[in-house]
Amino acid sequence: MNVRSQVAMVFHLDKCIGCHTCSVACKNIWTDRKGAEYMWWNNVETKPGTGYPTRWEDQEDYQGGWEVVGGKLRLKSTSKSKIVFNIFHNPHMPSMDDYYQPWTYDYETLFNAPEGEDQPVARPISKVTGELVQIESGPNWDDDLGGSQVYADNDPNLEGLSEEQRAQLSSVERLVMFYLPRICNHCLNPSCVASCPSGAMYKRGEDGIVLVDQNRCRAWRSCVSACPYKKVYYNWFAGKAEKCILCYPRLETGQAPACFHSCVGRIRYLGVLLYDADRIEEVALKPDSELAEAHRSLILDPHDPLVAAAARANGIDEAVIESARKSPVYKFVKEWGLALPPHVEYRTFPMLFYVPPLSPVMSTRAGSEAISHGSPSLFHDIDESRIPVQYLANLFGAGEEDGVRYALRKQKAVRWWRRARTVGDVDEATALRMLDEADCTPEQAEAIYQLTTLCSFEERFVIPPMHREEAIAMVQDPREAQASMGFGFSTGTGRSI
Amino acid sequence: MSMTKRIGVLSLVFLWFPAATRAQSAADDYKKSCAMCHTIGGGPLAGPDLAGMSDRRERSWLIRFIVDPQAVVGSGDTTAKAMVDEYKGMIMPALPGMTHERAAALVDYVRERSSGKSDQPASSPKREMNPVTAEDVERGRELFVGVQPLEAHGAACLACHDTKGLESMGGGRLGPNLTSVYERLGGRQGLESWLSAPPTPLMSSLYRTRPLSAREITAFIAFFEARPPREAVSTGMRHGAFSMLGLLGTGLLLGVFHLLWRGRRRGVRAKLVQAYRLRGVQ
Ligand code: SF4
Ligand code: SF4
Repeated sequence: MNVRSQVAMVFHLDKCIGCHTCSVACKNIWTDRKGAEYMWWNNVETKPGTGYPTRWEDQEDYQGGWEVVGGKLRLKSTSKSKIVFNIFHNPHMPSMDDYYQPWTYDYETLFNAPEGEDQPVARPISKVTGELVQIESGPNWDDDLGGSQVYADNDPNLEGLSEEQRAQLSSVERLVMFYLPRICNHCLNPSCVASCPSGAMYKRGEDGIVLVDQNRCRAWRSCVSACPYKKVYYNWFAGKAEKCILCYPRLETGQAPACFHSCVGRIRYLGVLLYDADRIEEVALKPDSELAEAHRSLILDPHDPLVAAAARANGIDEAVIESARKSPVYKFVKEWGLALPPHVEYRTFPMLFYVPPLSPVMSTRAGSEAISHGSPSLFHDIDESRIPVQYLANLFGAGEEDGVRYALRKQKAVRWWRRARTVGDVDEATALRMLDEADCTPEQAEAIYQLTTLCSFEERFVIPPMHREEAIAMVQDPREAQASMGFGFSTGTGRSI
Repeated sequence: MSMTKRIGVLSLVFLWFPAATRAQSAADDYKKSCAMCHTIGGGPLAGPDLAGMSDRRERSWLIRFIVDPQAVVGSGDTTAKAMVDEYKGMIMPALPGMTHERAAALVDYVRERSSGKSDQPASSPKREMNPVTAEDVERGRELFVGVQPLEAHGAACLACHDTKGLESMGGGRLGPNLTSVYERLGGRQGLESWLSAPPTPLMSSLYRTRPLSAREITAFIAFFEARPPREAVSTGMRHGAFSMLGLLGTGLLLGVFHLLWRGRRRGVRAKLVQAYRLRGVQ
């Protein structure tokens, strides 16, 4: 057992209101610079939809993530031999049109336009070329199902859905959508790191945050194509790759990342997970159908004295282990089985988990039938929900419905349980039976209810003490560094090729 | 022999020797640097006949001109200008390593020779005016285009020079076009002296260590003499062919790149929109 610690995340999709506050918070802090205008380290997509960049989930096209070939794990996008031929021309890059051409407006004309027949207008100007542009798309162009026939209809997750199911998705009174906020997943088996020919990418030992060393990056852009989530971006001005840094400067000072902190729907949870690094390869070689479960099995129980001892032996601080015991992420992912990794079939093992959305299930059935207490199958409406389970399974279970179904059933049972307690239109016996069938106890239901709806800042974000000073001291003697720095020199991150 | 006498003889030798070497080196210098374009009393070649030049021009002007012809012409000197006009814009090349002293010695040498005092032959004996054979012309062509290598392994002329009437792409554009070089350098004799020791800095640096043999020079003379007159050949086709070949090559290269990277991904969004529009029209 090789125990490591990882700062992991849960996004509760049932709570996201699609306000993009998270994206704006991130943009204002990190990507409001030349060359980074088009980057959205945090973006919010409408599902069904093609997302940003367009159809990023289509790995046949983008070639991101890992694949198992002949019993071996292999990057889809590149290899040691392939990279020799493609180093100056990476053939699987998203095009600017797949992201979008970032733009601003020519506001000056509003004030300076000479007197004329017409009202002056501020025309859009590209932030890349500085020329006037015709805006054709944006990072959330298909927000709230805008342009559905182009975007929603081409969602790669619709694979395996019948024609009828597809048609229903957008039919009147059955129309459905939900939001999928995305950031870098700070994966356990990051293909971005594996692909970098310069060794510029790394996963921080103490918290598993995946970073790009701006001094070593040589602009090969392998990471851009290798990340299946398209969460590494290339700064065309600086000539470096950039990505979400999980606001580590904030984490190190005990604050939640900006997108977490600002989240209006309070959908975001953050906490430490302990996992077994020795088993990653073995798990990554499992067939798709077992992946989600195997992924979850990597996560270790911090309450287990054996695990804690192994963690201590690996140099993980007692405070971090203690923090792992309080982690809301551990509860959602491991204890309750509510949160699932996105597209686990890419085999990068994301450390951002999603609670699949339940929302429209309630209204699928008309009138009193919705609460047909005596039904032998209390969860039948999950299968008739507006969002087909198959669709969610494509997103959160590599096509396997079991995990998604389990999470949905449990969520529904908790609702019924709380309904029986507060509204009283469901009798307690039925609610208890539902809980039982959903593999839940009343105590657990209360805990889920508590953490989902009434959670405080401290409950949502259990940030471990980062002990950066210890990590740094391992590389450099602090007293020596202090004595040798003087006023210090900081190096910029200009082109250094 | 008394001591004084011996000293007298020795000093005589010492006094005489430098003067002798000076005359000697001026003669050498003349042969290497001047003779391929000039004669003394033999008529003009590429440059004017030098006989009596000291009577026609100031000594100081001559020395200045020899040291740096370009500078004198550039200074707007009318005599020099007139000369340039007379020789169809050709300016005497600067001679590598020419100094004031060497120039002075050369002027003295030419003056001496013009007055007939010199016992050396006025210039190399005139080439017998044999009619050139077709064989010589062909050999000259082969040497020019490099089908036959030069004996001393010098670069073939084609690398830098063009001349009308060559097949396919023609020659290089670095050096001057040699179509009318025969007339320009004053016929056989001029060509011969030029080729035996090319005086321009570039040519001399290339051929000093790899001189042309007499046989080769004969072949070149034959080749240049047999050049058809300027108007008879057009180069339009050849330049066209050159551009065409360039275009073709570029196209081919792009084709190869395309094949190599045919699997590269292109944007998808525009295609989705396009597909939708097409559906909308139907
Ligand atoms: S989401 Fe992408 S960028 Fe982030 S760690 Fe995983 S592979 Fe790397
Ligand atoms: S701020 Fe929160 S609720 Fe708003 S879009 Fe982002 S994740 Fe969703």
